[in-house]
Amino acid sequence: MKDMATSLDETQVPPATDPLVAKTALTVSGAVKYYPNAPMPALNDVSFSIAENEFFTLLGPSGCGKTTLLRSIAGFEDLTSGSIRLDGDSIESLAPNQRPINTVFQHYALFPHMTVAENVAYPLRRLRLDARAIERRVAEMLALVKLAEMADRKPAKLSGGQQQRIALARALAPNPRLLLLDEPLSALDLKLRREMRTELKQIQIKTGITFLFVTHDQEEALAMSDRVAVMNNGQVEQIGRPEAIYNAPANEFVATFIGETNALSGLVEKTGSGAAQVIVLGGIALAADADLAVGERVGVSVRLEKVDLRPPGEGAVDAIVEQTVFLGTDTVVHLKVGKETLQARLQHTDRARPVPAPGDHCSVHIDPGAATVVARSNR
Amino acid sequence: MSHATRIDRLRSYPGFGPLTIICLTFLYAPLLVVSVYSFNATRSITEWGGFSFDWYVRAFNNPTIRDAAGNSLFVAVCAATLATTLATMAAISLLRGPPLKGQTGAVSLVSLPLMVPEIITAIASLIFFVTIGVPLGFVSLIAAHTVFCIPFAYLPISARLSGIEATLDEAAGDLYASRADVIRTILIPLMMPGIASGFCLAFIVSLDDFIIANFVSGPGSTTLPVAIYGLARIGFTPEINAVATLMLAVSILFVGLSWFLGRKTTQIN
Ligand SMILES: Nc1ncnc2c1ncn2[C@@H]1O[C@H](COP(=O)(O)OP(=O)(O)OP(=O)(O)O)[C@@H](O)[C@H]1O
Ligand SMILES: [Mg+2]
Repeated sequence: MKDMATSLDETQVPPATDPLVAKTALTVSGAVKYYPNAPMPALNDVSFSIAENEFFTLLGPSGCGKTTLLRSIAGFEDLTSGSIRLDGDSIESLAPNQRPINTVFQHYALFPHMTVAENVAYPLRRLRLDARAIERRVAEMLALVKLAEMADRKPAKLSGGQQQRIALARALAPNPRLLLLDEPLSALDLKLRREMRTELKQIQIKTGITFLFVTHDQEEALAMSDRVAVMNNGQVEQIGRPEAIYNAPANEFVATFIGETNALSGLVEKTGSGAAQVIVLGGIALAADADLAVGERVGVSVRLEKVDLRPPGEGAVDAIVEQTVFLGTDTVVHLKVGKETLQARLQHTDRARPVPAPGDHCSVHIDPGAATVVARSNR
Repeated sequence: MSHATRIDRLRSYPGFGPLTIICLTFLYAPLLVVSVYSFNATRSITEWGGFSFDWYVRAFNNPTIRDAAGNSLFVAVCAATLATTLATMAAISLLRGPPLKGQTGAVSLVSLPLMVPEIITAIASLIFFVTIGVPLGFVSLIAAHTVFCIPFAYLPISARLSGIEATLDEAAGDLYASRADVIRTILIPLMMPGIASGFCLAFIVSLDDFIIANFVSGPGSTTLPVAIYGLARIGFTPEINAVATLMLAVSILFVGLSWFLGRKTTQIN
């Protein structure tokens, strides 16, 4: 606590670090949490670590245990088993007010009877900084979130987006070792959410504080994070950089939860020299790097934008357009390939190529390397 | 169904109008008569003889009434302060503390005095004080009133506290506040309207109490209701009307104040 108070004045901007070589800030290992009287664990053996200065995101559907994990790290819940270490030291025995970790709550939790400046000063007062230092730090934080002119207002007189920024300023003011953010943007409208996304990332880079961000919005996760952990049913399904999560999902859950995908069933046809070939849609050959047995049936994920539509006869298999859905920058085309359905996303950049209409005949091409084998089935 | 339409439907019941008038008459006519005759120029409490403030002046100059009024105010301020403090502590520990064994039991225990007939409380208190050897006087009276006033103070205070989001406690804790800091800097300031409302109710309950005061007050600590009762036994004078009217005004003022402060409870957060 004392270290934190004295290190407030350091305004150094740390360089963006590679999470693989950087110092570890937080380590969660084997976290298990059973709520009283709940049959299923809210957290089921969760392990991961976050590097210093990293923007790390927990992404998962509602009820997968994101909030539970965050509250355990903040100190509001005790784990049933497992350990949480910050900078190598176990913090489980510390009360929330003894952990150098701050939280931005989903509904801001600003103190309604205090002005904006008093809210931001709150943690600094509790740390017994002297009045001048507090004043300076509050001004600095309000400038950081661009709300200096709101200092004397009550939170109720601010818009949702402004309240969000104040909550952020308040949590950042004591310069925590780790900032936890529980779906901080979910209460904002779409446009504001997009703006805040950029700003949040900029603030994270500027302050150099390690962020642990929670969301169920995959776009948000992919846009901001250095690394993402995808969670489901109290377990971590995959951890990786956004591109890796998107392009190489580890399993069917990750593939379908992140972005839109065609979940196809494929037949392993040829294996040799470490590479397998999987046939989908009765004629399209895809490469798979897993060691698969010939004749095995597997699940294959193909992103919508990886499906290429060509004039009839030019692609590997023929298809009929069933429906088209216009989405502004692109159009999703629903296709029937034999008995199976397939979706393709066409960007409106190629003016020469018209978007097909329902009933049109066309053919489908998929790059052999564009697919991911996500599951094996025994059928 | 909205509030307005419910009242409209009530209005359409046959006999609603006359019944309302009868009830209001029974409730308020005696009070009105008492107030009106406190301004009577003659000694009669049934015959109007012109307007005057004489009885108020005489009441103020009557040492019995003046001393009793002073005692009443002193006891009410002490009892209400103690009751409000205890009720606030009870509300915070029951609503915000760690889960307690027999929590619901504790809440009912706090509000028990509301259900026990006052005469029983009075007699029990008297026996209690005599048994443990506390002489009857201010100490016994304030103690008895404090206990009696706690549930009245507890209701608006706990209502207000349950309207304060628990995430505020957590946020404060997250921002390095100790439990004592949370109570001092977050809960108490936000509970203030409820606490003030509870204080007003407790104050007026103590000020108006006759039964308990009649049993446990001593010779030097007679309160106003007890003094009025004593005077009325000797004979009614408009002087009593004047004191009664003043007490009525104070009661209405405090109950109104309590209601006004309590109403804010639903508005904030
Ligand atoms: N206090 C509690 N008592 C019992 N069960 C709880 C409690 N809090 C959460 N749970 C359960 O634990 C599981 C995980 O909940 P949690 O709130 O961590 O999910 P989440 O990922 O944050 O979901 P959301 O996106 O909806 O916020 C859920 O099944 C939930 O019902
Ligand atoms: Mg949650």
